[in-house]
Amino acid sequence: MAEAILQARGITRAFGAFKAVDGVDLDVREGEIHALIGPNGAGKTTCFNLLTGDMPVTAGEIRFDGASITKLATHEIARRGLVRSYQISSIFPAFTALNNVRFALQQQRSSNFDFWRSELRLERFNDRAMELLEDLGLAQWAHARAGDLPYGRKRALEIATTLALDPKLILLDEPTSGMGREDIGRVTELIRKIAKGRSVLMVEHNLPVVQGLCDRVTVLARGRVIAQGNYAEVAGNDLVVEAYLGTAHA
Amino acid sequence: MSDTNAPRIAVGSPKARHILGFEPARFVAFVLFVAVVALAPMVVYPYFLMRVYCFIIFALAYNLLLGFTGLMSFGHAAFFGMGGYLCGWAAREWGLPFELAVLTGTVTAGLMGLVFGWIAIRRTGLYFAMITLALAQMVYFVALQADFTGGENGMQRIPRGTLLGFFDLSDPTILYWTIGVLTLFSVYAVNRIVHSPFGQVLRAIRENPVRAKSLGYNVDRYKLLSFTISAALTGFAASLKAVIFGISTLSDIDVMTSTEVVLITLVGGIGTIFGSVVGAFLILSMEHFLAPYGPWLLLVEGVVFMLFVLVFRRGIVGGLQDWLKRPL
Ligand SMILES: Nc1ncnc2c1ncn2[C@@H]1O[C@H](COP(=O)(O)OP(=O)(O)OP(=O)(O)O)[C@@H](O)[C@H]1O
Ligand SMILES: [Mg+2]
Repeated sequence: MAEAILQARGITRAFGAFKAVDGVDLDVREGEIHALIGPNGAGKTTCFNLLTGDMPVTAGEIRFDGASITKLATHEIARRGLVRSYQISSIFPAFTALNNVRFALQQQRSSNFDFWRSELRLERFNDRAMELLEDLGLAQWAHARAGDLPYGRKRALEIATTLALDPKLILLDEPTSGMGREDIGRVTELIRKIAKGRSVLMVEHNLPVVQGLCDRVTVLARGRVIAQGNYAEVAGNDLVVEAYLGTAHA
Repeated sequence: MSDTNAPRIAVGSPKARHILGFEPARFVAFVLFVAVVALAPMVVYPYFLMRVYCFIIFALAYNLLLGFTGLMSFGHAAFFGMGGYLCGWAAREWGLPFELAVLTGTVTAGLMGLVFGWIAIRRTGLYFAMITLALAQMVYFVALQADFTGGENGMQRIPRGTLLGFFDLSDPTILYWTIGVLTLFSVYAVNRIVHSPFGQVLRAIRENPVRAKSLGYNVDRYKLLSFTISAALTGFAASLKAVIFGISTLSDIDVMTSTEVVLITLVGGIGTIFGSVVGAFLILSMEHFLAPYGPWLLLVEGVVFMLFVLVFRRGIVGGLQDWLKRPL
């Protein structure tokens, strides 16, 4: 069995007295696509925020690729190979689409504090940036202002910038939300493609997508893990049915 | 950051050839500015021009922070004031030559910027601005109490010295050309910084700091370096001013000086290079012509401020660059 690349133990996040994430254990195995599902407000995005260091944990421990990352800053976690995309697409609106991706690629330079050099030396990243845009069907928008792209394209652009860092583990927060059926098909294919040689943890509301794509599923409700396993196991679980259909199942 | 307020020309649009590191339109603006520097002293009082040039450098420094990094400081008077005092002190008391005195003022302001920035970057937005304001007020208090600043009288009799040990800066023509060339060089340098790999990171931070972080950039470090460079360049501007006029006063370190540079930047255009030039010319001219009317100046400045915040938020050069679809 493959080694877990990400291990979360008892991670908790309280907002005042309210625990948005409450003692969650999560293992993402190397090379797998792992889904995190659950009703609205279950704590999925908050979980992501804890894993990527966007928010500090109130309690618990996170290990990634053999080392603790619990106390690391977001940028340090990203540099170790754990990179996310956001639920509300997070791009650089005033940059061209190409420059959005190039900015992510630029991170590989050993230092970007060289304020005396010309940015022309970043042009060597253009080809790779263009490839990534092509992979996401964005080639024709390469020189458009990112803020002017249609909604679905912005999401695709964000995934392209995430991939630009060549992460070991990618966290995708609802990558298909707001997309039409055709785009969903394309993004699903893309996720399958990018998952070769890396691991993916994704929040996804579209259950057919989860069924078709994911090796394992973790179900979250009110901040707690209520079920874990492959899709068939989880789908048959009473607690899961109850969480999705409401509490009238007494 | 709200998208509607972002520049309409995309950063990274396919590049026309750069000249001296300027985009073509900006290069035209630069040539125009060179012509102004060369010809204006024939019709305008040179000391007024040199004063404007100091504020151009100051505004460039401020715009690097506000326009290209997205950080709002209300504390830049502290760097401007202390930079001027230390340059003056170095020239008068330590007998340092012009170059080293200016360097002293520049480095002093840069180090202060490092400390201010280190404290302030822990917060963002309004809180960041408030911290810089509070720190600057503390520095003002020190300047008011300390002997070396000359208190209410200011630090007087700052000697000009010689340029490179040879050109006598008490000659107004030599002084004018020295200041003019240093100003042109400052425009060049700030444009260069904005168009460096570092500048690219700063602009990304202005656009979306959260995403910059999650792509692996140590955002706080970049902010801190930007703040420090901005403070040092402010100290440079103040040092030149101290040398030109032979005096540094409390009015340079007063909070009004911080608001003045905000006004210049806003009127000229936040996030433009030549907005600093146009803004400084306009605001200082306005101050010059309204000076005889005392408090009316403040009223007019208040109205101008409101007008630009409410109606012309992109500023004069910002509006022009949207219309031309070319960065200026
Ligand atoms: N910064 C915050 N401060 C206070 N409460 C928060 C904060 N962030 C999230 N919450 C609360 O925590 C709970 C979990 O939110 P979260 O965004 O993690 O849910 P989610 O599972 O991602 O939901 P969705 O499917 O709607 O995206 C919600 O009740 C939310 O209101
Ligand atoms: Mg969510």
